[in-house]
Amino acid sequence: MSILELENVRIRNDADGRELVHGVSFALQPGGVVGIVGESGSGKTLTCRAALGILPEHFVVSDGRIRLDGQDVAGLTRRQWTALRGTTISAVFQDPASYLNPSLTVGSQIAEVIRVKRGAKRRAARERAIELLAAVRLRDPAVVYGQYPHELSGGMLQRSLIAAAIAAEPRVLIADEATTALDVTVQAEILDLLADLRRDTGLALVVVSHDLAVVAQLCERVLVMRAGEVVEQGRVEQVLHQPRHEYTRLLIEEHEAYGLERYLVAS
Amino acid sequence: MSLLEISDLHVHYRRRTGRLHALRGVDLSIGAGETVGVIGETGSGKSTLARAVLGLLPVSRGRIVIDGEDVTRFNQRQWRSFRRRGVVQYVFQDPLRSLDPDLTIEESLTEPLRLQGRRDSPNHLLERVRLDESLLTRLPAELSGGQRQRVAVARALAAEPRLILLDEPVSALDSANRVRVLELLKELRDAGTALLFISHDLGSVAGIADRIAVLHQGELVEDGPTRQVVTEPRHDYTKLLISSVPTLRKVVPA
Amino acid sequence: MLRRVLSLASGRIAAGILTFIVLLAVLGPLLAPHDPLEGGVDVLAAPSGSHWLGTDYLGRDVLSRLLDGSRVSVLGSVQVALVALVAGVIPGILSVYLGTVFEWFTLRLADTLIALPFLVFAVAVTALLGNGIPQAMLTVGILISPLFYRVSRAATLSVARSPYVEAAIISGASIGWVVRRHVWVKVLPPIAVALANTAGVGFVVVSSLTFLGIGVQPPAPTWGGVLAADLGYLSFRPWAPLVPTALIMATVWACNLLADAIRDVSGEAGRALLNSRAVRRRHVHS
Repeated sequence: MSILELENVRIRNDADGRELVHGVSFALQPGGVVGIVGESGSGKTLTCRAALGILPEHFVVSDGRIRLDGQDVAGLTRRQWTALRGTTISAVFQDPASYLNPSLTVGSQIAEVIRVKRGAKRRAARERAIELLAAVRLRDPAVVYGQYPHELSGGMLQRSLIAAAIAAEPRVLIADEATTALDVTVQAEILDLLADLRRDTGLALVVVSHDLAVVAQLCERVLVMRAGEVVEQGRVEQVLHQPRHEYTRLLIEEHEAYGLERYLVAS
Repeated sequence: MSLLEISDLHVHYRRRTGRLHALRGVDLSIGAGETVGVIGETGSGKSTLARAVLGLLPVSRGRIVIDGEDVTRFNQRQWRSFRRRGVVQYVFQDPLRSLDPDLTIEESLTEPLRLQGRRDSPNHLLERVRLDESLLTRLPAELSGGQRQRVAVARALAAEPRLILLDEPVSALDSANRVRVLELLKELRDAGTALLFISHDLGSVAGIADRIAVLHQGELVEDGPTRQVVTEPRHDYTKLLISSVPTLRKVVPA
Repeated sequence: MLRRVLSLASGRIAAGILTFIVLLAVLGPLLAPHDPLEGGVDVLAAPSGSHWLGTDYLGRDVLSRLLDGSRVSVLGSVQVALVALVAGVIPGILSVYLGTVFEWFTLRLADTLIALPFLVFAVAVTALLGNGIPQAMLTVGILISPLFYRVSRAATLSVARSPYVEAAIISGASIGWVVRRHVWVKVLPPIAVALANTAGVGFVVVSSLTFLGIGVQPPAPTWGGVLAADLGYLSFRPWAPLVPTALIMATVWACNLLADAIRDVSGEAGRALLNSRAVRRRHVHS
């Protein structure tokens, strides 16, 4: 059974009546990974937010169905949503610094998640937090635990947020442009980390990026979104080899013409 | 003779915690009409390099020669008259902040012309970046990101520079606009303007640069023709960079 | 800017009150029905046909004194604002560009001026330079100038490192060019707000100084002076202080209202506000 399933999901802004996402469907198996490619305004982030139950004010899922672990989320109360987030579905976003309180240590914020979600005691939460920081391959996890967000680099912050996101052992993790603001080498490390987490813990991933190559590297299946529309959807190899939509071809051509690919082909 | 000749360039910043050695002995030269990509990640000193070339920060040691003139020890006045010759221009990363929000596109484009003492209208500049003249009366906030970046390029072209420094010029744009701006830059290159790309992402400049130079912690660790750097990197850091770039080829072997 | 301010109801009200006050200042002395300095036997009289607001303890017509005093009061506060503007804004902008020595010196000077107790300093300087409106207002203006220094410096700093200013410098722009073309427009709105606020403060200070008898020699009338005289005879004319108080308060309130209106319409937010209004208006008309 799918852990996360979207069925023809449409999202509308009730303030002006405009529909911003025109029908997204995909099913994510436990331990599976699906990618969404699109630019800002394509509706990819709104789709993710709908799956997390955190759509901005006035935005509603106007049609379709979202099932989380078999449960239709449409009728969930705020309290039920809160219980699901973290333990079943979790997320990391582009700008890690803005998701941490600058005046609290990184470790205490992760420990807080563990205490709230797992009901752990203070000492046990601290130990678990340090374990998690080690699991996201931060060197000296005990030191990082006591550091403040401004003392960490962007890559370290994003690792800490991944640690916080997986603290309550969710079954789905959404990574929305989680590596976009990072240096290329750090991006590669984070992508590796996500792949390893998936392999080791059976965490299912939704990887969202504007860069087709990032998504292609991690995912089995990919959705290409543009202006709220899914223009192409299928297995990665198929989308890359036989792109049917003009926009997908543009994304591939850009890499072929301006990226490293042309040299790699020659070699 | 090369257009830009940087030799043994050192730049220090004075910080409360001590001196920060941002550039350590960088040698780099760019010939007329050449396109070079300087690749470096956070803290590599790539922005420092650009700002030193533009005279926006003091050089601690070494020499910068632009178009045959040693600018290393220029004072403010000398810089100003040198800049008005318009040899070097700069295109910023963020198209939102590189245009004055209170000035219309026309006023922004007129500025570099007036500074050079020219009286002509900026219409021909918009044509060169394929934007419609009707945009002249707009404010930057009324343009899309791609349009703004093309205006920024047009602004740089006003001085008819022989060298343009570009700081991640396309990273804030979406695919369609990225391709459009890159095509525009290719045309400039073909017309004989030298381009110096500054980027953290080798993948984003490999397709346009003749040569790649890799900056790592203030030192130039690699400098060579793009093909050679990509296919036979010598320095370990360059190898790491190349293996880190996400490409479509890892999934689809050629 | 003015047009944008007047598009707000609060801006129109403030402008209306201030126009009235300025008219009073210009025409007041001409409109006065009696000589404001000439006393009479009829002291502390209640309002009547010939003395609309009654007479004071020397039998002088209160209405005439208020009308005549409006010029000095308004001019005084304008002078305070102008002195503060010149003494604050110019060093404020230049402190960003003229190097670290000038910056350090002006910053310390501003700190010192802020630390000085306001009225005590004013009293001391008037004692030193002689008692007169210009001396007193100069003092007050200089004491307020750190506000303008801070405001203009902060606004300049936020612009000075922006890419478009660097782009201008790379094209060969001088400091003067950058200030005229890019900085000035950004510094203007916060300064306008500070200026409107200061005019209000200046008004209170002028009034309180004249209330203390500093700045203006006793027989010459001002609003603060009239207020002081009225307060001395509360038991005879308990309602009398209300009139000069209302004038002072209305002016200060209008200045603050204007300051708020300027703040609301300046910058990106202000432009958006105006645009949305224009759009709505277009909708209404079509």
